[in-house]
Order: sequence, then C-alpha cells, then structure tokens
Amino acid sequence: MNAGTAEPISIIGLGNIEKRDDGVGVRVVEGLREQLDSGEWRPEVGRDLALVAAGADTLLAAAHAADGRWVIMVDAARMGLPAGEFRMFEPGDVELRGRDQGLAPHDSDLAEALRLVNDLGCAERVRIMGIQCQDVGDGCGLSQRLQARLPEMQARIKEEVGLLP
Amino acid sequence: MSNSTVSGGPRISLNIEVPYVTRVEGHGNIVIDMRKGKLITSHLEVVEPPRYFEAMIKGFSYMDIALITSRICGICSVGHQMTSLKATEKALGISVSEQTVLLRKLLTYGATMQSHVLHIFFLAAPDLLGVPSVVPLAASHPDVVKMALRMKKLSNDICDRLGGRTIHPNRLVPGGFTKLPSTADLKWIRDMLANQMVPDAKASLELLKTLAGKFPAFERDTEYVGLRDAGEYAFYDGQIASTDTGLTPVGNYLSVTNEFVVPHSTAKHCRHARSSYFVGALGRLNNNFDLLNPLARSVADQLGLKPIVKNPFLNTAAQLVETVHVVEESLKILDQLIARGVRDEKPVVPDKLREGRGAEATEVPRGILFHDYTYDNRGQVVKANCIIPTTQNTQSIDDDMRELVPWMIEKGMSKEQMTLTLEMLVRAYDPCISCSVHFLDVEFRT
Repeated sequence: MNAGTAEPISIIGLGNIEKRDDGVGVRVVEGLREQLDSGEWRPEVGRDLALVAAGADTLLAAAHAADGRWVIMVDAARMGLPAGEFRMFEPGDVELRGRDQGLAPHDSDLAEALRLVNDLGCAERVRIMGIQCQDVGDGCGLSQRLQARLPEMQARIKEEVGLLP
Repeated sequence: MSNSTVSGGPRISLNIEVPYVTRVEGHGNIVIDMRKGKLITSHLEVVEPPRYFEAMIKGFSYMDIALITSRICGICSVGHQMTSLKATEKALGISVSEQTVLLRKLLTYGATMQSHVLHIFFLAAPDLLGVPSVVPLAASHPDVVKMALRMKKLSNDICDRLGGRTIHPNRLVPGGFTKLPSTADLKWIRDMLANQMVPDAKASLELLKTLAGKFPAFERDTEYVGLRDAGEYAFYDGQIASTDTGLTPVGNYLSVTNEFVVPHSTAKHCRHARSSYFVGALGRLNNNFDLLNPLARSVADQLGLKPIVKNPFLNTAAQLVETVHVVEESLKILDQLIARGVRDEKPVVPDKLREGRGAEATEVPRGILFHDYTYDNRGQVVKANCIIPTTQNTQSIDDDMRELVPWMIEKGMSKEQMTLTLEMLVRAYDPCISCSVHFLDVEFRT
C-alpha cells in the first residue's frame, strides 16, 4: 500500500452495553480506539480510519457506507456457534431474519440499514463481524468467554483493515 | 365501518386502532372510538413500563449522575447530560467557564441537527412521499437519501469530536470537560458545516417546499411552551416561556408542568394554562421567532411559518428551520473559539460539598427538558425528578386527536386516510415514548 492511496475505513461498533454481550461490538471498537490513541496500533500512514461506537444507531453505519468509505460493522450475533466465536462476512453471505429468530439481537434495524446500503449500491464495501453472544441480560460487563476473546476479535479486524485497499 | 369512505353525517360510528405506531421511538397505540357521532375515545396509549431512573440514581455521587441519566435516551443523550450537569452544578454551586458553555452549546447544536435530520428524512418524509419507510426511497430518491445520511453522519461526527462519542458522550463532567477538542477539530467542524451542511440544508429546503402541500392543513389553538433566553434563540439556557402566560423562572417549573396520570397511559400527562401545552420545535419557534438567525428566518419565510403556528404537523417544518439556525449559531461560536484557540482548562471542582437542590432546563430536540436534584453534604443524590418533553406532549396529542377526528370526517377522508393522518400526527411530535415513562408511583383509578 502506498502512503496516501489507502481508502477510508470506518469500524462501527453496534449494540447496547447495558445488555452485557449485546454490547460486544462497542467494546471491541472502544478497545481498538484505545490502542490507536496509545500508539499500540499503527495502521499504514495516510489511512483515514474512523472508530465509531454507534450503539444501536445502525443508520449511522449506513451513513458511513453511503459516504464512500469501507465499513466494518461489529455486532453481537446468534449464529449457532459456541459463545465467543466470531465470523467476518459480507452482507450478501447471510440472510438477516427477524428479531426473535435472527442473527443479531437488534437485527431488525441492522437488516433495514443493510437494505438501505444495498439499494444505494454500497453493499460491496461493507464487512460484518458477527460475534456469538452468550448473555444478553441486564448488566454492563461482557461474559467471561467474550471478554477473554476480545484481543482475537481486535486482531482479526486489524487483519481485515490490512486487506482492504 | 361498512365502507372505506367516511361521510360527514352526524350519526357516524368509527373505530380505529393502531397497535404500535411505527417510526417513533418506543411503543404507543392509537385508539379512536366514535359511536353514533359521539367521540367516546381518542387518545395515544403509552404502554411502556416505568424505568425508575429517578430512583436508580439515589445514593450515587454527583460525578456519576450525568452519565447515568444520559442513558434515559439514545437520541437525546447529549440533552440529558447537559441538563443533568447544569442541575448538579446549580445544586453544588459550581460555576463553569465561558469556554465550557460555548463547547456545550456546540454539542447541543450538533445533537439537535442529528435528531432533526433523523426525524425529517427518516421518520416523517416517508409519509409525505407515500412510502412505508425510507428504504424504498433509496431506489427512487438515492440522492436525497445520501444527502440525509451525509447530514446525519456529520452531526454525529460533531458529537464525536467534541464529546468523545457519537452518542452518550463521555468527556462531559460537572465543571467542564475531561478532554478538550483541539483547534484542528474545531476548524474541521467549521469547514464541514460551511461547505457541506449549509448546501445540504438549502437543498433540504427546496425538497420540503415541494412537499409542503402534503402536510394536513389542520390547526388547533393551544399553548406553546419553550425556553426563552436574552439575545439568542434558546437551547441551552433561559426562562420558561409560554405563548399564554409569558415567562416563568425554571426553578418554578412544577407550576408549569403540573403532571397528572390518566388510565390509558403509563406516561404522565401535563397541563398549564389550558388542558394541555405543546413543546418541541414549534414550542420554541413560537416563543423565539424574533431571535432566528438570518438564513433560518429566510427558511421559515419560504415555508410560510410565522407565529403563532398552530398546525402540529408543521413541527417537522419547524425542525428544518431550527437545523439551519443551529448551523448558523455553531459557525458563530466556532469562529469565536478558533480565533482565540482552545484554552487548556480543567473541570471546576467544588471547594466543599454541601447540601443543595438544583432544578435546570435545556431544550432538547423534542422540547423542554427538566432535571431537578437534591444532594446531601456528601454529594450524593437524595431526591431526583426528570420531566421529559414527550411527557409534556402526550396530553397535547390527545387533545389534537379529539379535534382532528371530526376535522377528518368533515373532509370526507377514508378510514385508511384517517388512520395514516393520525399516525402522522403522532410522528409529527417526534415522540420518545420510552423516555416519557419515568414516574415512580402511580395509582390508577379505572
């Protein structure tokens, strides 16, 4: 990658941190932001990198995609995997279903935001990291399983950033 | 209903129930019951459970209260923080610097832009364009959707640069900021507002002008309430202004809100000089019209808004006027701060904790917001009261419905048209229904 030619990337953490694992997307992004601020993470020079803790504002993720940026959305998911497992995929790889049957605890909103992104012709620039959640009850901390795997999740996102143009 | 068209006969019977009104925050139901020409029921049922925030913060330190109460709402989190901080500072005798006030105003304006853009384009515009949500507009009006998303993103970016997060900012504490934005941040915001937001707002005006005829031409005479400040259109400070009764100090807010309970709603209702009053963009506009900035005034003129605006559906149009106004106001503050540079100020701490009470108000996107705390001499909350805008608007919605139903019948609307118009009415208030459910002890008499 030549300095100055790197395309802008937004990493958007989604979820409610008051619902334990539902907020894992926000926790992942907050950790990445600390690493960036402290200099622990040094993306390539010239890369415009936005780290956004968006909470439940899935429309904001759509806004970043519509702005011509690459977008990595990080969100809790129900994928039938062991708790703490995570997958990186593109919108076209999955079908987002209703609130009670679907991929993410607040996926009805995420599904609408992704439809918007798709209809605006921006879906190809979107990646989604789904993280299998364990406990989405009231409370602010992540379950131990998810907490323990935060570094792996962050490493995978950094790897994805390195793969994007 | 035996057919889809309702004629204006005096013996008409009508039953409309809209469970879970869409494109509003939270859950509310519309219930209309008219029997043989007599309107039996016309109201918005709020069915959300109470949230107990006032009880939750008892015993917590003054340093934690704004962060906790900002969680009352994901859309008005900045407004709750501002109001909470002001109430705490008043109670504990903390005076903040001019720079802190200016930065807080900038954040307030950013949050106002974000919320207004969200409502105008994503919640209200689908009604005006005859589609069920914004999603179909991505195909039919992609440039408009992209513009709306661009405006929303910039508004969120402003909150991020000033407050540390796009929502629920974490740099605001009693006495000031834990981390200040750089002068470069302020220059970036100024550049984006001048070169992106202003042109987009002007384009939004042209769009709204083409849709203005889609707003129902319904009017109801009522009382409009909002803050009014000396010398500027009030968002951050001021006294309580009423189009009926004039000014009331914020400390006497309970004499304005007069909360009461009704059987059909888990949210309290409010009334002042009449059976209800209206807060929000129209509440502010009708009390601050003479203080609009020049471009915002031009927008109001082009949309035909002149006080007293009595059509609740035009709250959405008033939000566009305010969006332009806060952009202009932000540019003024940014010029001031950039010219002198951001000073490295630490948050002001109280010399000594003391017992005290502070009641304060700000204008959040949906209207006037009150926080009222009593602290003990350890700086811990012993009593709290938060009255949010939607609580103040619920009775106004009911009163509007009571006049709107006969008005729609008189117009010969079909039941489907009436249902949509009732939903549009509720959406015009831009309600935060979850936030409105705040009370602690309610006794229903049914």
